[in-house]
Amino acid sequence: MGPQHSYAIAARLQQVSEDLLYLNQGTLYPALVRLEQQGRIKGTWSKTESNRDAKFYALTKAGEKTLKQEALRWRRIAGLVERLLSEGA
Amino acid sequence: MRRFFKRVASLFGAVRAENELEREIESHLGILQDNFEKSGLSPAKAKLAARRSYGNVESVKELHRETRSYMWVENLVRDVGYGWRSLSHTPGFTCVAAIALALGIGANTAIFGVVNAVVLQPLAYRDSDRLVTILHNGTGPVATANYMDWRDQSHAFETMGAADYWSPNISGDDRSDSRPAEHLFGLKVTQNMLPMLGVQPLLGRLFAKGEDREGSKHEVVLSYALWQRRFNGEPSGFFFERCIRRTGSSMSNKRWPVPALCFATWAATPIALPSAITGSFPLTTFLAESLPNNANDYTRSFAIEGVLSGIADNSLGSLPVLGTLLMLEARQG
Repeated sequence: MGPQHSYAIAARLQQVSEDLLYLNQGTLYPALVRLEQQGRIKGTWSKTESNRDAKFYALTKAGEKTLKQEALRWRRIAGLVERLLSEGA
Repeated sequence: MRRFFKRVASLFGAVRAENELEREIESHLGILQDNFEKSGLSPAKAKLAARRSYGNVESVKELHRETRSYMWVENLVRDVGYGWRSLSHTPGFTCVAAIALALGIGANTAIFGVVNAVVLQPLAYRDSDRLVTILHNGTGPVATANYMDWRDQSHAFETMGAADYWSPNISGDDRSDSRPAEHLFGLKVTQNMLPMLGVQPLLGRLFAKGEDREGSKHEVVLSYALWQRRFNGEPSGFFFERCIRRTGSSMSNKRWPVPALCFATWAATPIALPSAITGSFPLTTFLAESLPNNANDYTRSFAIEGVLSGIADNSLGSLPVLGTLLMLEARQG
C-alpha cells in the first residue's frame, strides 16, 4: 500500500473495517507520534494527488519487524481464545 | 528508552514540532476539503464541512503534544516563569512573603531540631529506655546524703550515679602556648556514671574505682568534640604527655584512630573544687564537655547530665521518691 498520510490511513482503516473502526484525529495523531518516536514508522512530507502538502508515513525496517511479531502474537492469542471458546461450547 | 529521549528532546524542539503539527493538521483539513469539493460542495462550504468533520483542532493539538513530549515539564517551566514574573512585579509583597516564609521555616527547623534531639531521638546511651532522672520531690536537686542513702539502700535501681554542673576554665600549659583560655561546660560525675551509660573511651581509659574519692588525683575525660577542637585530635603536647605517663604503655605517640572520648590527667592545671563537695562527698572526677558555639553539643552534654540511673526491672515501688532527679546541689565556690 506504500506510504500514506494520516487522513488516508484513517479512511483506509474505516473502509477495511467496514465502518466498524473509526479513528478520530485525537486517537490518530498521538498513535502516529508514538510510533514515529519508537522508530517504527517514518514520516516524510510530499504532495498528494491533488497537490496538497501531506506527511506520508511509511513503515521502517524495525516497524516491519515489530508488525510481524505483533501480528503473530495477536494470531496466537486470538486463536487460543477461539479454541477455548469453542471447546467450552 | 528511545522514546523517552525523543520525548525529552521534543521539549527543546517545541517550536519546530509545533509547526510540523500545524502543517499536518492543515494538510489534513485540506484533504478533507478536497473530498467535500469532489462530492459537489462549493469551496467555502467544503472548508466549513471539513472543519466540522475534523472536530476540535485545539484538543487534537493538546493530545498530540501530550504524546509527543512531557507536557508537565513544559507546563512547569511556564508556571515557574509566570510565578517569577508576577513576583517581580510586586517586590514589596515578594519580600514580605519571602521573609515570612524564611522565618517560619527557620523557626520550625530550630524547634524541631531541639524536639528531635531532646524528645524524639533515644538517648545515645546503653539501656536508654531504663534510664531515669531523679529529682528531689520531682523538682529540685538531691542532697548528697540522700543520694548516698538511696544508692546504698534502694533496690529499685541497678546502679545510681550522680552528677553536678561544673564549668572549669582551660588554658595553655606554658607561656609559649598562644591559645586563649576557654570556659568549658562540664560535669563532675561519680565513678560509675560513665560505665552506667555504656561510654567507651577511644583513647586511654575511664575513671577507675576509687578515683572519685577525696584525695585522689584529678582526672578528666574529654569529649571527642573538645579533644578535636582544642587538642587537634592528637595525643601530643603537655596534655597527652601526662596522659601517656599516667596510662603507661597502653599509649604511644603514634596517631590514634578517631576517638569518642579521651582520658587524660589534668594535674598540672589544678582545679579548685567547691569545698562543699570535696568535703566528704566522693565527687572528684570530671567529665569535661566543651561548651562551644554549637547548640547541639550543649544539648548533648545536658542529656548526659540528666541521665542518672538504670532501673532494675519493675521494682520501682520500693522507692517512693521516684521520678525525681538525683543531682547534687550545685554549690559553687
